[in-house]
Amino acid sequence: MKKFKVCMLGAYAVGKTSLVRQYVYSIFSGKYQTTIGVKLDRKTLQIDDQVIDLILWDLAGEEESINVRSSYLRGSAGAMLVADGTRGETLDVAFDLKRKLNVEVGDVPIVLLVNKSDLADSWDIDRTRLAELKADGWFVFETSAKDGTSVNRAYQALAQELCSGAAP
Amino acid sequence: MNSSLPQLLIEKIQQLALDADSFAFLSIDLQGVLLDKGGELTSFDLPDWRIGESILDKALFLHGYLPLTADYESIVSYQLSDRCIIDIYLINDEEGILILLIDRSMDIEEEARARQQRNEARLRQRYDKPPD
Repeated sequence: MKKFKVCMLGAYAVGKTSLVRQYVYSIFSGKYQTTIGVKLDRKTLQIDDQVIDLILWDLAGEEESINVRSSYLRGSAGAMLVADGTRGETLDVAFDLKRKLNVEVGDVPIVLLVNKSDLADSWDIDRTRLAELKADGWFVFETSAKDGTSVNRAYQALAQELCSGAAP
Repeated sequence: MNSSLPQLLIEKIQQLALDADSFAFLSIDLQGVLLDKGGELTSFDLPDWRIGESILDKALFLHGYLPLTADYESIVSYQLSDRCIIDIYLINDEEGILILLIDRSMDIEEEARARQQRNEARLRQRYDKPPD
């Protein structure tokens, strides 16, 4: 079975752990619990006729990409960039982390999740920028780890890219 | 090794480190077959892997690191479970790879509490209200 290491990258409290828990275990807790270091989970899924494993590396959120250890990123086949729609500045953090990932492993498939769509009324993220990213061919999903909106679709999209071997 | 320190001090530092933390090790060949294991493995929340079985599919942290291209690789603060946080060192050995596991749960507890408080304070400042 093919295995792909996938890193969850984003600022603190954007919902990386909650997205993994929603995707892997279909559960959500509203209590914020900061991640220390790294947690790993495995999700088996089928893409066309292939059964694959995603090894999800849920990394502690940082405000500065320099604080993320390069050793965590090594061997990554792809990544989920996660931003919080209610904190527009987290999109910049996500892209800083993407640059760090690119230095470590080159161009790999990446999907951008703008999380907390259940709080869409409170969003202050730059929607024009999101539209531009989509126009540039980025996979952008507005997700809710709370109610599950678009979570499976986002991981499925990344898995599809990993299987096809294409980078965005 | 710091050669400017007297050997006696180096040995003392090594002894203090060994006394302070729980250590365990796994030894695997290049195909991921478990060759040996030891140390205080029972204090780690790891499955009871048997000598002779391949652990490549089971030790998720190995994926992406093999074959090792450097002398060693480290994965620090890896949360094995809610109550067990370890540092992992993958070290190139003649026969394969030595995996050193160091239990860091006690050391990390305080760091975790501080980080939680810091992040909650940042969120309060950002939203001007406590996080949900």
